[in-house]
Amino acid sequence: MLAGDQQVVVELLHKAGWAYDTRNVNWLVDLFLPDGQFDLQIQSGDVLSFPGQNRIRDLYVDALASQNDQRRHIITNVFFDSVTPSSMTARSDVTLIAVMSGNLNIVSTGVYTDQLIKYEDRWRIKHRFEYLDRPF
Amino acid sequence: MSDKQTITELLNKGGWAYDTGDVDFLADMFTEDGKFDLQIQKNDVIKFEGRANIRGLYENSLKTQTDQRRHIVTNLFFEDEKSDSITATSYLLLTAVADNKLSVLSTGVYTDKLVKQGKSWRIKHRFLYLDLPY
Repeated sequence: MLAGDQQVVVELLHKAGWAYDTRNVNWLVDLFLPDGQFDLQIQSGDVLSFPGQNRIRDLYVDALASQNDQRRHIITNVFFDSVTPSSMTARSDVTLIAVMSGNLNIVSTGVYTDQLIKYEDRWRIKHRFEYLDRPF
Repeated sequence: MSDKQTITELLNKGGWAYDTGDVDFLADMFTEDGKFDLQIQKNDVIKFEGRANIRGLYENSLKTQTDQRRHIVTNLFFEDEKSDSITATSYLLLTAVADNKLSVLSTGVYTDKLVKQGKSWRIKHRFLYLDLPY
């Protein structure tokens, strides 16, 4: 059974997938600390860095604007490293699905590595690294 | 075991129960007056009220399917947590295997309102939104 903080973080990561798929950008941005960072690597391409909540918001807004299908970010395989009362690293897999015009496609798979901090009694992401096996 | 862990296992087992044809378990997941609302894409919501009607939904669905379904339940998170009620949202990834071919049939979202009856958690209201027909 998961300890309380790990249960909270599992739910956050699950809900983040749902939040993207329901286009809830405010919730997604608020998942990060104000100085949080999102690094994205697709296959062996360069790592794209988005430091700070404003850049992270732009990333989500731009990505969502380019997609008119129904995305489903299916989050599985969550496990933890380096757990302390105020910080932890969580790894999880994403299976990214898109549905449009009656067709379902598995767009990509990937791995999130999230460094989280307990800040003002809330767990938030300090650093997210997303590696995708294919472009999204 | 915590209430959330109990509900997590209940919802996970609900997927397994469908895939093994265990209608008794599926029906017993709901309260006697439970409701199951099903919406496929933007079509009208189809409503099933009461445990007996929900059982009928499962029985009729299973009769039409000769493939091996897998209801893969993921992304579970909780809201509106109280001592005797809670809302659980989860994703469904629905696959089917037939003639040695595996297909991803649909994805969807469950929104389950559960209540505690004695020591058991049961679904008072399930809303399933599917991105494609099943």
